[in-house]
Amino acid sequence: MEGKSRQSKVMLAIVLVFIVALLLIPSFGVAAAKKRDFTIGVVVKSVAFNWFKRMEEGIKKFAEDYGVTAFMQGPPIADSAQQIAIIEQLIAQGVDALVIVPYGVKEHEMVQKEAMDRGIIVITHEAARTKYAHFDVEAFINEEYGAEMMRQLAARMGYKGEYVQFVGSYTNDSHNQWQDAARAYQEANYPEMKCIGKFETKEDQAIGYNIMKDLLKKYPNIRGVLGSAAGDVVAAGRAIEEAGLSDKIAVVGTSIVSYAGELLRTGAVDLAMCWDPALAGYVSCLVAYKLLNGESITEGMDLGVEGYNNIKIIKNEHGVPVIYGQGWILIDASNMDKYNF
Amino acid sequence: MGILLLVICAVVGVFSPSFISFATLFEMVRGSLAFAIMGLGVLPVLIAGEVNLSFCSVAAFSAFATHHLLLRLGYQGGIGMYLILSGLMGSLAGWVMGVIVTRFKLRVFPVSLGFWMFWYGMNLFVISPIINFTLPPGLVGYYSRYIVTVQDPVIGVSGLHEAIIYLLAMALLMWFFLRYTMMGRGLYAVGGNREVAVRIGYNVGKILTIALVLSGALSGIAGVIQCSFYRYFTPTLFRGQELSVLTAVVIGGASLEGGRGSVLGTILGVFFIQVVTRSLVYLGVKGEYQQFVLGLMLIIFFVASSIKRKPRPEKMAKLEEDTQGGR
Amino acid sequence: METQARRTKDKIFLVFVMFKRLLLTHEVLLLTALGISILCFGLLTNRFLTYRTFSVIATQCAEIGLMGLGMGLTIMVGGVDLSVNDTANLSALVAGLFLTRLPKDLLSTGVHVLISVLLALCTGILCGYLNGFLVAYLQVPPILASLGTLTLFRGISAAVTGGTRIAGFPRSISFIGRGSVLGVPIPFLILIGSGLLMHLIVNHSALGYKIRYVGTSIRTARLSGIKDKSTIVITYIISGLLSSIAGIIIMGRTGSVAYEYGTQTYVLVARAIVSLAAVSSGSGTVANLVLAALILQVLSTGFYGTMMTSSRASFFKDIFWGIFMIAILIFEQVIKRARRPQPKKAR
Repeated sequence: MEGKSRQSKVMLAIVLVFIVALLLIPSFGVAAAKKRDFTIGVVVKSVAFNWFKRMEEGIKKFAEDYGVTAFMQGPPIADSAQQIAIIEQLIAQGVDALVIVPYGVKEHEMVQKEAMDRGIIVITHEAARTKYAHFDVEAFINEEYGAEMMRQLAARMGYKGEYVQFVGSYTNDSHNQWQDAARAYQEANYPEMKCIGKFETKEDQAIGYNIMKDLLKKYPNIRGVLGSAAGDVVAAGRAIEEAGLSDKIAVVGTSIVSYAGELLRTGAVDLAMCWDPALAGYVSCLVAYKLLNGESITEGMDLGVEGYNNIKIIKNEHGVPVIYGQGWILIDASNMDKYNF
Repeated sequence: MGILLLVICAVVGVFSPSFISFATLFEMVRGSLAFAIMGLGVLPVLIAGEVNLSFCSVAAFSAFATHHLLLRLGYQGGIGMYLILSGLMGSLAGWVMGVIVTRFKLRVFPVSLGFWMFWYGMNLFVISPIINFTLPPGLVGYYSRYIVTVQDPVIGVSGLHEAIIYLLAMALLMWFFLRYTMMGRGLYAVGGNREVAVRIGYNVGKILTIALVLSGALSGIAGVIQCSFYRYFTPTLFRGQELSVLTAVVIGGASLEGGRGSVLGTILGVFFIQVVTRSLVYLGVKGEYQQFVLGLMLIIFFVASSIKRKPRPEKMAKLEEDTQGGR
Repeated sequence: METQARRTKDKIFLVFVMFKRLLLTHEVLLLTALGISILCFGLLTNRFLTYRTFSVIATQCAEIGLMGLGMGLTIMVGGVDLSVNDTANLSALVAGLFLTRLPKDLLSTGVHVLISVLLALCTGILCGYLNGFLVAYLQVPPILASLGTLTLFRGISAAVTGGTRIAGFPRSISFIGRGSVLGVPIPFLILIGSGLLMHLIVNHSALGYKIRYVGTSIRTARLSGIKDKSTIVITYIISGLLSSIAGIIIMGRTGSVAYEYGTQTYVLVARAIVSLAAVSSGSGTVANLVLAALILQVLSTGFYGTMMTSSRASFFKDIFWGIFMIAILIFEQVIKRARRPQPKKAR
């Protein structure tokens, strides 16, 4: 008998825990209850990235500045299936606008189309080749950025030698556009340089690190590294530093101080280039807000945000207008303290 | 197993001479250190005939929680405190699971699936969702603390990392535990045939709990070591690598049905997986084709090893093995 | 007089026992859990109990449900199929290649799409056959066999596409993934249809009997004349087939094929569905699998709905799923014990 009452106690306890856990939720969802003018949902590749934490700062600032509900949402790990599921759920919740930073551009197109069909404003970021969106926001023209990356790398390599390229994934449009443009620029301008190949780090530093280690052995004449994802140069720089080759190999690529800070200081990473995700998030929300208010976005407009004072608008091959700023920044050991993200 | 490993290395070496060097060896050793320790933790649970999938998330949680706790306390020292604390947290996590499993007579696998999500969720939700790059002074430079160093003409200084001592120590302890303690023998008995083990008088629940605690402790230690190599602490450490560790241990001779498995085999198995995956780069296999080649190799290996193993009438053979006390 | 009272007492007791039996089946438990969660989410946010939300839930649970069904069946027969997600992606890839590479005007769109769907299903069958062959005839442990094929299938998809996405399909494909009939999303109809079919197979056919028999004890099954090997192979083929249907739905829903779609998510979710449904070798029902898929989907959608503005929703969801799964397992065990009057055991 004693055992039985213990069992029912356990059952009761479980039911209680279950209910309490469910009741806990509203404490996190309070903001949703205060219905304000517009609701803008930002869905990013993964909320567990430092990069998007910084973007969230910009989104929160925007929400405060304009008095709207703007929030960031995303899967705990970068995965298209989960990201699309979240977007569909937000559509069902009736948001007014969506800002999407897709993990894979193509598989997000259908859900973006569905959102647009339901009258939701859809803005994408880091997806210049997307088929369905009202606007895509890019910090800069990818080809210009890629060429700039190559100029910076070439100068540090003495305009000769072998280099490798890293991309987060072969399917990431921006990464591949930068690297392809960089390579094209090198082939046109620096004949003494040679590209070994383009490798995929799957946005994972551990993978990038191992690839770099193996590449160093396989190709001892590597003199330069061009990274795309924020972790790429960190992974490569780490492998290079451990091999004692910091001075011989130039490492240039997209990254941020919280990722590359230590290596920038030691010189293993020579230059981190990036745009400020907070500003990009802010601008994306702003564009959505302006469209919701029926305003239009025009060439040369000043969006009132640093780097977006004179925007260019170019339609991509699917007719989606893409907004370009001049928002890249160069970070090296001398100015890294200015960028606290 | 060992011979196969050498053959593969030789083949890769022929195609890419730079593969055969101490630097490569040491690099591979360091790459597989943490996984080998984790594999050692997986081993006792597998021997007991259960499959635990939560070890990766336990490793991530213990390491990440330890790191944030020590940072907040202003800890300045080296890795020692990290290992102890993280190991303790890991064993606590293992103990919780052990209690649940034995109290309610559940299988480990489904419960560990729940814990898999739970610990990663705790990391991300309660502690912090972002990678932490701040290291205490004692841990800076730990990644290159070598016992033996070699000067490689290509990649510069490389060496045998001191963490291999931990691995060796733990391998020895585990070996002793499995071989010469009542508990260790009990694991084989429980995994071989649970009914018989109960009849003989083993306390199955206790044995299983101990296996899970051990697994947790080793995972916690592996987590800290891996993070100190990475030079950052991430909440999603090892995420998605559960199955490859499990594969490695099974390749090393452990059986998913329980009752079989050895320490040496586990370490070799982990090393084997490391060598196979990383040699693909040396062989010049293109990135897009690596998965394909790996899958093919895995299947061939599994088929070969299951054909080699004599087909035995399931239960009876097991019973005989157990009663004879052999492995 | 006394006997009368006793008889009524017995009757009441009998009714009570029967009631308890009925009440404590796993189906009822799952239904209750489903009801409670829908109720709680409905109370928490006024945006949950809407047609749109349920249509999203119905659409999204189809993919995981189909994969869960496939994995559930293989677990019933005593194995496991970890390659469900990659079978789905590979099948979709074959269909996608057929749709995009073939000159458009060679066949009418309807025939074109039909053939591509058939091709996808064939791919699923082949993938399943490979798994079954490895497990049944070559005696490879199921976890390892399907782990190997998982890597192989993903590798084939990656090698064929070079890692890029394939897109640009006719509209009828997207209808499979996003369309609806009488307000019910097509994917959900497909799930229910497959579920019914599987239910018939598992509970009312010789094959289902064999599957459960082999799952309970392969040795006894073999001794009593059941062709255990072909049973296993057929089960894995069904699993592959179900996965390929999921693949077609994914293809329709996303309008593209990507080799890494869902690789971080679906296998684990499918496994979670199986353990939530309390399916184990030799036992389990299809209804439970479908219910379990629905519950997990409701929980996921509910969390994103109620915690919409918090970027930490997805982390909290992980924690909750974990606790929920363990709780259900414990719950089930406790109930199982309560159900059968057990002799007092010395602990």
